[in-house]
Amino acid sequence: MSLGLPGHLVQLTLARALARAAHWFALTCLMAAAVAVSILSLDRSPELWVAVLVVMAMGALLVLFTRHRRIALAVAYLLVGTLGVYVFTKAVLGVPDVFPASNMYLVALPKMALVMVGGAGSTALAGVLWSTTAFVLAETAALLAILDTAVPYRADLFTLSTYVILVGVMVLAGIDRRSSNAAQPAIHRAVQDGANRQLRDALDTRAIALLNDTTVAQLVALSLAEPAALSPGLRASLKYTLTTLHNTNWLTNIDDRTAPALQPTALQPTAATQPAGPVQVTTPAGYDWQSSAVYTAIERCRDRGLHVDVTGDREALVRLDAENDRDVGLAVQQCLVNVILHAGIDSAEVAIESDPTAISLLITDAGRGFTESDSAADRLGLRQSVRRRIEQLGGSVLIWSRPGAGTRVRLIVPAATQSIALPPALASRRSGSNRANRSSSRKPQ
Amino acid sequence: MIRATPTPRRPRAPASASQQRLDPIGGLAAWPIAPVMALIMVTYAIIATVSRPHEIAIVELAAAAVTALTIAAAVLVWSARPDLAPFTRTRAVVIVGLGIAAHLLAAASTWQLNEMVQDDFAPIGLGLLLLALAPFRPWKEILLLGASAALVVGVTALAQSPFPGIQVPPVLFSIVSMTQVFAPTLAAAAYSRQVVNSIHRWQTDARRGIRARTEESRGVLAQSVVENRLTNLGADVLPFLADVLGRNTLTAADTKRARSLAFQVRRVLVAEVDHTWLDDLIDRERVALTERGLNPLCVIADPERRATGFDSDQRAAVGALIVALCTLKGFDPTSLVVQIDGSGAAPADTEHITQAFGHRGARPTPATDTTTVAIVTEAQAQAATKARAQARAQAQVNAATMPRARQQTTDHGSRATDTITIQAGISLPPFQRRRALRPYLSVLRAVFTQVRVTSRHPLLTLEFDAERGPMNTTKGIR
Repeated sequence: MSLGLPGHLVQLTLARALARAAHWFALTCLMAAAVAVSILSLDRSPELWVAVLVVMAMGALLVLFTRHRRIALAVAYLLVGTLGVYVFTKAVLGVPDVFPASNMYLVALPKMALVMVGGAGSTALAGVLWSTTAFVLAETAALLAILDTAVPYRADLFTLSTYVILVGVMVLAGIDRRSSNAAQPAIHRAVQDGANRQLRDALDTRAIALLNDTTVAQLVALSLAEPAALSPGLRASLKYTLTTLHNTNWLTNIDDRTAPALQPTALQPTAATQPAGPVQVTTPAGYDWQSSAVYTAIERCRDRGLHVDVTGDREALVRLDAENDRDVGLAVQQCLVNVILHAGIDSAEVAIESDPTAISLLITDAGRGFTESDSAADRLGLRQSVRRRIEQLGGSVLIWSRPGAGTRVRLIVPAATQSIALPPALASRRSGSNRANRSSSRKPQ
Repeated sequence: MIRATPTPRRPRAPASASQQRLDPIGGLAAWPIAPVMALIMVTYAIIATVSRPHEIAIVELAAAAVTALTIAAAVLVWSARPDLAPFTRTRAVVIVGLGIAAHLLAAASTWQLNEMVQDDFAPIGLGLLLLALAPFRPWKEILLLGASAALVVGVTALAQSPFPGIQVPPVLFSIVSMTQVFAPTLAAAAYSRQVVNSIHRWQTDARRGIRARTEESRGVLAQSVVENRLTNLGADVLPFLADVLGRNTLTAADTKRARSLAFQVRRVLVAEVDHTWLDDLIDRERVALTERGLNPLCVIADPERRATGFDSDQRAAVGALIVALCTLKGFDPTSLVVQIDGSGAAPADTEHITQAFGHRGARPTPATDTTTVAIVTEAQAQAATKARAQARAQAQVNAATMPRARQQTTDHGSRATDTITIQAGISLPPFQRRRALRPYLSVLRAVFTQVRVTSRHPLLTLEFDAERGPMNTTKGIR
């Protein structure tokens, strides 16, 4: 990941993280102090319970302060902590004949916990001020307590070094790094540019595939046709190509599920009388596969003289959304156009199968087949119009072919399970008629 | 409390995430913590050892303990250096391992003579080592390492408990020593967790924002793609088709012309298909430099279209670096060369498209054509030929001078490694150049491996590797 924090969030984020760190440090110190003094209390002097109590009180206030970072709570923690340090130091060092001097780590624990209040400061300066106040209060309270005991005073380097390190870290985090300021927006801009470029590439891929399907296919069809009057099929597809390309929004308009029904080759009575497209997905009981782009593609190739047998679970195509349906239709069309142009045979078969997560279409012909090395480098058909298109939908394409042994192309496209779009009543009604859909409605995804 | 970002939701950051990995530029700012901690712990170790000679039973062991801690500190400073990023798990384990070794040696050196456990330098040093890991390692790892170290320290303190001069329950020695390790550990882990979550939350929001902005421009982009395509289609095709339709008959001349047009259009489309994001990026920089009144000559050599295998972060890092290079003061506009080669299979040429839609499971397609530059006009064709010749010459020079990268990459078996080399002439003093490029290099180091920078004034060469997973193979394509 390269999208780092922008300048205006850095200080706030670091301050928050330092606050967390300081709180956990303080809590560990207080817990250790409570446990150690409890053990000491059981072993030596039972009156140490008061030290345990003040440490617990500090811990409770600290937890409160961690949850609700309010100044009042910080002040309360500071006051209770100062009192706590006094009571704790006096109680612990007051145990006779145990501690040789005042600079015990055990005694420093609540002081270190108190100094950590500064970690919660929202800026480095505020943090340093809070910490310094806490340090002064803690050391003063400890000094007063030590004077009340028989133990000789020794400077407490533990608290001092903790204070110095905390202040150092806060200052380090608070320094504005100017050299990074220009770079972060530049990275952000680069990520945005990259996203735009990806979208543009995706649109371009679609545009190239569409141009290949329409313009190049049309030019190839014309170049292969005998000089004579145009056949009705050729005329219809020529008209369709021109209509598509003259429409300035062909790249985005083609997403409309109703588009296939308006295309010239789909002007069958059944297709033309179907209700408008997107409704199909939500009311699949009335779904007719003739409104799908796959059907339109097959019909268009039939118009060009190819005999296409369709088998399998045609109604599964309803599970494709408008965009996927369009792309699968165009990919199937390209496979069939390949049969027309290259297979040297006038028949092909399209088999549709479905499972709970995907729909697969197998396009088979018994034509002359091909080997990869024979296919020219500038050929776009399978590469762009079939493979890229299907892969763009998250699907995959498998091709089996050998010279003289025909060609099989399997398109596998992920598809939503039907139960998502269906009301329960419709789902149960529909599940009776379709094995694949029945299993998918049991396993909604 | 004000939240770092305004979203109410808390997305989960990946378990392996650290501040340095997620926000390399922020990590760059955090690195001075390592030398500071190292200095403190080594100074304290020396003072604590020298000031208590009466506690030392075996001087050699004490010296070895201080040496081990010094090495740990040195490894810490070395590991945290921005030019050696990222800070790996191995480095963290070695550092903590050395710290534990220093502790055991120190305990052995003062065996039976240690008057106070609380002022031992090793537990405090271990605590500081763990604290310094905060910006560089994930919180769980810091916690695990800290807990292990605390356990060793606690057990050692318990073993030493009969000897100190203070008469308290033995477990108190353990608690004191363990707190010295565990409190900084928890602090470091809490910092790492909090900062990683904040950055991750920001990144999630930022990416959503970027997606939204991209979607907003969909209409404009689609329009420009359509216009571009129709322009490329030429003025001939549509009138020709309309003419044939209008006449309703096809002549022999028409079929011949249709064949020739089909060939032309297909050739242009194929060239366009092979255009990569890197070509786009360099094209844009070329335009920007020309607008600044310069005469740019930027060369890309990516014959296998390996740039398509880069993910969006890698693209952003390279893009930002190239833009930064081109806008740097003293940049020589005729000097930029970007070359990508490597071992293993070339990437699938649809990967970048499927990424845009989030379908990473898509199967790849091998590129069948290796034309990098779209040949649309004669002038462009000439420029492309020139660029390719230069790139080839550059590739030969690199192949002769840098066989190391290629040897390394062949060892990865089925993994493919792309090696990217960016060369640019920048007449700036080395210090200023390093300072200007440091943030971009830190980002590069977070998304690529083996970033190497060499400089022979004024020529700057950056080399880095991108590793890709094993590639699927596909069957015949026609």
